Amino acid sequence: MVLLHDCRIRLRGALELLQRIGVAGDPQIREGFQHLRNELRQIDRAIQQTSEELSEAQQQLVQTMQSRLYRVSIYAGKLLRASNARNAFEWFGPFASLFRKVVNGCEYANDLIVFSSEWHYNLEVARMPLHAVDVGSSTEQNIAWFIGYPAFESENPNVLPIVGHEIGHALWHRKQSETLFTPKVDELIESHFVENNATSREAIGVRKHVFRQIEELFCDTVAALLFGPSFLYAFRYLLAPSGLSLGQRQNAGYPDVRTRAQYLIDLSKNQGWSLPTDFADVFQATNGEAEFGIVDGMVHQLQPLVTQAATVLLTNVAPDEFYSFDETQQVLQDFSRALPCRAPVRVSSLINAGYLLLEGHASFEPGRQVHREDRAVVLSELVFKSLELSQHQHHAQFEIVR
Amino acid sequence: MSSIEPAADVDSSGMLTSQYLIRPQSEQHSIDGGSASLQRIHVGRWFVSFRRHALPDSSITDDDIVFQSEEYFKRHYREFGTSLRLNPGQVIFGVTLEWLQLPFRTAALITPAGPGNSTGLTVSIPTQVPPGFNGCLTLELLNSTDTVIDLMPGQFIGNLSFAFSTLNDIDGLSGVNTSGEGRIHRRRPHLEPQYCRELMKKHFRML
Repeated sequence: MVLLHDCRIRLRGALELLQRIGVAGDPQIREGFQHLRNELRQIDRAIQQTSEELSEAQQQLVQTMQSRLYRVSIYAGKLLRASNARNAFEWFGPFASLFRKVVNGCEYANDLIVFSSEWHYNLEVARMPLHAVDVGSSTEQNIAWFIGYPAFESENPNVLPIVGHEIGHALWHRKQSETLFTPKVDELIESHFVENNATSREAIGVRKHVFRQIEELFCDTVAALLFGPSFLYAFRYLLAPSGLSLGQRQNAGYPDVRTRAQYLIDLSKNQGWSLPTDFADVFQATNGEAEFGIVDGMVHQLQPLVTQAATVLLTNVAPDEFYSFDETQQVLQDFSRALPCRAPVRVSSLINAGYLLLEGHASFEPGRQVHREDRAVVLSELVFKSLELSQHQHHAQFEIVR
Repeated sequence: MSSIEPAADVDSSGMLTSQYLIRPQSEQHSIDGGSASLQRIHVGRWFVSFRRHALPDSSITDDDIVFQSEEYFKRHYREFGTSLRLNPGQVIFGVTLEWLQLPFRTAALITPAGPGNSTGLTVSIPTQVPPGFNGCLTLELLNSTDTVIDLMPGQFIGNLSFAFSTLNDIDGLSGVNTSGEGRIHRRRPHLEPQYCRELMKKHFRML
């Protein structure tokens, strides 16, 4: 059977390449490649056991195997880009810890976290199921999470708070947060489509987009609570004026960027964070088809519920990871002298202190002033070096304990 | 430097000070006291090696292209607890794990030390750290033995000692940038074009 034959050739090529790839450094990436090799070997065994007879079942099997192979190739690319020395590796460890604390509720969970630099500006999160692990009386499915960030921004720590948004997506899926909103969404759908059928094609489309939009708002809230004002600056940096260049708002699945910004500003007011008064001015509203209006209206009604749910959930899983103004001020003392931070702190405190200096809300000490055009580079070095030094302290402690 | 007598800088509040700062340690160190005059330094996690096969065999003129290009240099990164293998005769550039900030009238000298030194690891750069220096020191590491050496991030690599200047004009130091403002030395090995050209001449007999 030619299909089976071709599939075997593809598999052989993929396996040979994956076995040749040598990756030094990050154990997470090595482990990721090991998982992919295992996945390919499983596919290989399944193909080897398949008879040569041409039947519909065989065709179906080959198609499934091809899909799995396609997925493996995508993840292999992500792993390879994650291992490239153009990345600023310093933030990988601290962000993986943060991810595990928030999503798994434990810093030492077995999920694999890979940060890959992607050659586009869309940040994204993808997941691949790994082996199941027995946890007491139940079985837990470990997952490989792939978080992509723009390669062009790999030396810019100011974009990192956006990763908090992707952590929000992982939290949303891990905790099946959609179920929290299902009754309220269904109620809104039924009341709007009372004259039409609530199960009509349009109603189903609106329902789907409402869920997508509230997921986005949920993730914005999670990121803002974790990273404080720095998330808003990063949001503006990447999405202003409209997010259209990133393909957002092409359908009603994404909320309007100006509206998102306004929700974030409201949140920051509630939290007592100070932002420039003209912060929202750079954002443009994007109107779309009629369906956009219906979805936006429903999401607007649900938004307070979304903020509340995200806050409660985050308080339960990672109460120590909320943005801290006091800790940011502590970091600022060091950064204003053009020195890395002296003690391990939250990543968010480092980035926020950097933003205070970058935006001119704080200044460098006399004798250590930095020209405005050099500030971004200097602060990036300070943030990454601070992260490295905190990892060194962590490693040294671990060595002593061991 | 014409003088090595202890001298003082003026800090932001106008007070005299002769303290340097080093991370990861949190306290300020006074250079006046004898005990703090020697500072241990360790190798960091970023390295750069030459792609020797790709180096041009004639004189190098276009600094911007040559010295930034991944065609000629390869970056390496190692986690704590792992190592980078240095082959016999291989030269590689690293940075100190420590971030050093010197007062504006204090220079530092580096002396190779530690286990690597006794096994033939040559640390030959920088010999002099200029006053006001802020950042990580780029290290030139040469394996001068005929066996491999494993370099580990965090490995003890040398000692810093300090020298003081009473001169007002510290820009008189040769070959160093003491501008202070806005200048920091990065956490990755940073090869200035002129320095890089000299290294190439030294190690690869280039023009």
